[in-house]
Amino acid sequence: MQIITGAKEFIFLNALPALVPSVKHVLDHTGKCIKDTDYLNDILFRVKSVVTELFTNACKHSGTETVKLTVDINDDYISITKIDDGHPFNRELLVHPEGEKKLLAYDVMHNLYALTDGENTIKFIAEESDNEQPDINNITEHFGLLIITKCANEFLYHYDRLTGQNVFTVKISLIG
Amino acid sequence: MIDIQEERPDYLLAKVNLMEANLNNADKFRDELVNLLNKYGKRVVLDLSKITYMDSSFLGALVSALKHAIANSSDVILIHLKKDIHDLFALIRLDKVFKIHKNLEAFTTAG
Repeated sequence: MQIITGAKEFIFLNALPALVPSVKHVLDHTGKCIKDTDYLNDILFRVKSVVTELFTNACKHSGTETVKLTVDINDDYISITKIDDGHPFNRELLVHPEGEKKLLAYDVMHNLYALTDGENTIKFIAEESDNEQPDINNITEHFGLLIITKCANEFLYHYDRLTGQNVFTVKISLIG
Repeated sequence: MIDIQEERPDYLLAKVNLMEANLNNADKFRDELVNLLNKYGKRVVLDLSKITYMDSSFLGALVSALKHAIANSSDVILIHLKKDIHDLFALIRLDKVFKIHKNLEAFTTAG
């Protein structure tokens, strides 16, 4: 299995018309770097879904002109990091006691938790319920964080108090 | 954005005329679909074959329209999903909420 390792930085316009071209750009780069990977299609599906949601989230919430994204590939993982100077994700979560899970969102199929993971850092965790015939009225209409969390092997948010930057980091395994 | 293909006694076949289904068009899509459900008063079978990109905003719009359909004793059925799109539904378990069929024939056979 040949992987082209290394980090590449992208800066995209934070605007709706730029959303899909930006995702395609990241996918093309990633596809070239990992083209001989065993689980190529599954990994590219995850990268596509994660990057789509990171950009959608930025368009909706960050209020910045550009989005900076870094794709760092090593032999084991793809790390996708999105940095912006927009509004902090959720200040309340950042002061939650270390190691404690806080329920962020839920419906009849999933619970989405935020786990404090060091200073100003939270880790997202999704748990599935065993409900096989969910009632449509008890299902959320907000899936962005859930999609990223379920695609990722690790999904972290860090708020850098010195720079005021939001740092979202998603790790996707290359080894199944 | 939603093109009607065929009206049958018990369902309406319509095609979503979008390659990129996202935040850009999610609200308008939901409004169009809800209008179709209200106007025709029957199940809507949506052909999603053109869609190659879908984001959480569009999924939210679909769920919102399905809630409206179910509340009015109707339904939204999805056909011709590309693999990535089907995988996205399966990832967040929306394949347990929507009736998803490979094509129209599979839907009519299943009833």
